[in-house]
Amino acid sequence: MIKDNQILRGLIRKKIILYWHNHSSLTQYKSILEDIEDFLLPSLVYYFYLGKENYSDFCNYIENINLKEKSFNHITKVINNYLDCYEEIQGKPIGDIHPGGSTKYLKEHKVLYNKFPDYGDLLSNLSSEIFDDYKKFFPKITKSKQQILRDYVPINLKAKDENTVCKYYFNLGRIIPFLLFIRAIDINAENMIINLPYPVFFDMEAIFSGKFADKSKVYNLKRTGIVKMEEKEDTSVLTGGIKSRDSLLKPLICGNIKAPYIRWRTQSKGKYSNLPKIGKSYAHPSKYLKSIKKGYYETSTKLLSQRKKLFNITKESEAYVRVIIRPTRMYRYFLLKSCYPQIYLHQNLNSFFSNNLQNCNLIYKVNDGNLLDTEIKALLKSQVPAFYSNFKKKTILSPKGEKVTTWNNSPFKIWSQYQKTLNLQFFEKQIETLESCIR
Amino acid sequence: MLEKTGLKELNDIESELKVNFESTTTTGCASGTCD
Repeated sequence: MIKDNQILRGLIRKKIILYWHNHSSLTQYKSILEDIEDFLLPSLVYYFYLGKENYSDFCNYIENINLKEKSFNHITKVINNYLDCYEEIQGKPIGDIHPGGSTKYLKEHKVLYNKFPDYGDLLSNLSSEIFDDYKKFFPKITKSKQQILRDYVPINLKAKDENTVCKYYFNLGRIIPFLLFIRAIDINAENMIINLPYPVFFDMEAIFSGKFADKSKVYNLKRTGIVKMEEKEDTSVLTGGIKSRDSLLKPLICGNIKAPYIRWRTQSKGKYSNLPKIGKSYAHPSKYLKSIKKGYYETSTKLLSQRKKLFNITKESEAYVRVIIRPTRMYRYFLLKSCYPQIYLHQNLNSFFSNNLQNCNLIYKVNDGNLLDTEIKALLKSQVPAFYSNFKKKTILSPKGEKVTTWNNSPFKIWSQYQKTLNLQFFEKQIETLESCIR
Repeated sequence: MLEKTGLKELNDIESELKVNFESTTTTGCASGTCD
């Protein structure tokens, strides 16, 4: 039997597809359709209750409302702007929509984007010194005219036997010290996949991290995303997805056709591809600690003995890395909240974004510059702000290469000092953290 | 109206998200549709 909320969702989707029929090349993609739904839903429910006496139920309301009506002017304009930003993309969009051609999209088994980030050469120059099989850990990145192309990696997480799982965890152990060496962050479950017997890190844009803004300022395993930080919201590479988690940023229409309502906290149906399986069960990392440690110490020792050589390679390399100044989920939160009539009818959205952003901490210590204005400009177009940096320079750039703000020291300078401090004790401490997080 | 439109629940989530955001640099893909 079809539930009321399924009927409601179907009707809303049908309405969206019909209204934005001129954008059928975009609404064919589930992620875009869902975004439009997320932006539109609060206004639909709000205006249903305001004019409830005119309709027999919510289905009748959806079938009869005209999105061209004045009440929907603001939100349809927001959605039109959002769709306009996608027009330049010539394939299936993946991930967040960013300003200035930095949105990634899939075309003919390649992931494409413009100009930034540009770290492929640096990553292969460094990883090839440490691993003969470095190509198995990172997809190939090539450049063509103004575009950057990344190979699309197939998922293969079903192990035939225990030996394959041991090899996988050995390889995972091998790569962790390298990720620590290059000060990587954002290595979450959603940014890696398994292609047995290797973990594949396909989104390595946030490497050579600059100075952190919080009190401790130190860089260690807890910053990377590899180990869990929250029992409740585990998104880590090692254990993310084992336990169920809440979805918080996806509105769901609930209730019945007479009395619908929106819920935000629901059980997440999102699945990661970060855990190998034997049969139908996950192969939990705690059972393979020996394999992880074996790989981990093999690379740690190698990194320390090759440090000078790796420094010289880095010194001679060029790269543009992503600077995740604020967690992108915060941008998404404010964006979704700004789509409520109770907000957009009563507040200037420029001030709304400005006040909310100023109340949130930054991940990195950066100077003010035009950061806030640039963030607001992107959010007003329903885009997720993104920033990049030539890792040898102090300037922080927009996706189009415009100066937004500055570091006090370049990421390279921060890394140069950091790598000098690395020793066996550091790596031992990190593996102890790993052990405690997976038990 | 706050409850029916879900704005009350969204407001309640904010502080929880902030706590999580500040204890980790985990960012995640905002839309949850990463490749």
